[in-house]
Amino acid sequence: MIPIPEYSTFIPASVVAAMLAYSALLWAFGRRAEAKNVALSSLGVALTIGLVSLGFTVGNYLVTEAFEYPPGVRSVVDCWGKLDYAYEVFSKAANCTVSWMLYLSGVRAALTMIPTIGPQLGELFWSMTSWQYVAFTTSGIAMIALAWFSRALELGKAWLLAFGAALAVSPRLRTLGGAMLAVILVTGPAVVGLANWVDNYALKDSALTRYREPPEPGSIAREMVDEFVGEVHTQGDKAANVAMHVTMLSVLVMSVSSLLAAGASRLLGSVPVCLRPV
Amino acid sequence: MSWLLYYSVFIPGAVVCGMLVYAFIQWELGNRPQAIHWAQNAAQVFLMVLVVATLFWAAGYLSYTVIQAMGGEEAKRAAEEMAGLTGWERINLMWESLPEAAGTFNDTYRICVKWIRAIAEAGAVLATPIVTAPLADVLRAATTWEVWAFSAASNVLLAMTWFTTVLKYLHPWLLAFGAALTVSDRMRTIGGGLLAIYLVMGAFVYGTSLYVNQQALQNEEFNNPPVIEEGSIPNPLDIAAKADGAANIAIHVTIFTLVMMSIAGLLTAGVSSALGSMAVMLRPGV
Repeated sequence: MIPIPEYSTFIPASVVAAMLAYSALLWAFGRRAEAKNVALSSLGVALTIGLVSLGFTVGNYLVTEAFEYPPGVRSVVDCWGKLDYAYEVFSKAANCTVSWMLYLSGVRAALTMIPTIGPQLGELFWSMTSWQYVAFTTSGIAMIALAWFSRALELGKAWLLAFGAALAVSPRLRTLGGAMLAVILVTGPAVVGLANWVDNYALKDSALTRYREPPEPGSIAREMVDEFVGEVHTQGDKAANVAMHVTMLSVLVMSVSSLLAAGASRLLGSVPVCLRPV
Repeated sequence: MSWLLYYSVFIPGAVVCGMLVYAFIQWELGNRPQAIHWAQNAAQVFLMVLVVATLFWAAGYLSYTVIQAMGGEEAKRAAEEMAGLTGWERINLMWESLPEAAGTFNDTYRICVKWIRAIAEAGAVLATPIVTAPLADVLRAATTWEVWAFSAASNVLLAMTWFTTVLKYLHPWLLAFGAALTVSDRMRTIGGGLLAIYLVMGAFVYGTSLYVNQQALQNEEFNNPPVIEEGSIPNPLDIAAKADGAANIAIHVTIFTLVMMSIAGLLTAGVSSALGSMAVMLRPGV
């Protein structure tokens, strides 16, 4: 495990100490102008530390005041501690969409098993619900991509937190640290905030969670087919709406957050890094 | 909203103050060229305020042109409403009209689903008595492409419904931070993209909804899916013939929506790049 606080303090402190030592050396050699420049650069590092702190302050303010986050999350760094939660939420949402597809397939199979008219009813049910399959597939892909994206961020978390802020303060290393710091400030909070919204909106007693076990073949009475199919279609319609709402919000949040991260990265003098799974 | 507008004034103000303070420090340290450079940067922020104002004017004109090009009574009414407004007011009107646009997409998607259900119900009625069961196959064969067309349209229009709804949530943030951050030389890498989305997407989404309303919702052929009366035997060829026209309209508005969203994405990316930000392309799809 990487000792995050030690590295985060040690690297900028070393950079400042090295610069001041070099400045002192230049001063001793009589190269006063160069010494002054290096000393000013170390002042720049101190200023950058202030700017990085400001970035975290703004990020923390947005996390606590502007958006809704899971209980206990009070800062940008807290968000990074909730990536497991994000993984679970997105996995659960993806499971719900897959369960709906399985449920619809089960209903189709059960209808097909009705004697004489079954195959035709099965085909009709398929043509009736194929748009819902597409909606659930689209949403399922987005959710599973977000789940694995959360897991990937979780794996890189220690490196990003330890080196991001630390390297961003040094003028030479900012090309590396700037991008990492931008990801820390934007991507983690965006993913966890989105997961919290998906959890509250889609996974707590919404139509998306109201799929059932696929019916046993032969369990649908012939005289009940109309009512049963109508009910399944109506419920599927509601669930597809929730799934599409979640998907569109995910697409927009990830687009805007990748734009913010890329912009922040370039602002910090690094390469524009666009991380977005959907 | 008011606190977001406060940010759009506060951030450029803070940027100018920061630059002037830094210029003053440089001046005191004797770095006169640097001090002049930073003072010039502060002046450039004021210049950028004018550039952003010009962008709003141009985007307002673009919105007006897009709405006029959509045709139909609703578009004419909207264009008349926009005629006497300033650029900012025109763009704001587009964003304020997004719930109406989401309603249009939602209603059109609902009608596509009604068509799918009507065709399936007719098939079920035909399939149940053994005598008419072969006609269910005829109906299925005759309406395969229509069902496919309605299904594709349902998905695109459902995605547009929620895309529009979510854009509406985001728009105060886009305006406040987009306008505020674009005026600063350094922050433009972030603000440019946000401002580009604000300037372009509202007009294109609302314009598309007006076109969909005119072409689909106002069209009797599309708007009236057949109702299968109890005890009657539907004629499969009659249903297929009716569904044909409606499916054409569904595909027409779907393709139009996709093309408009692609153009909007392209323009957003272009404006964003021109402002020195990332080329951001928003589109309702994964």
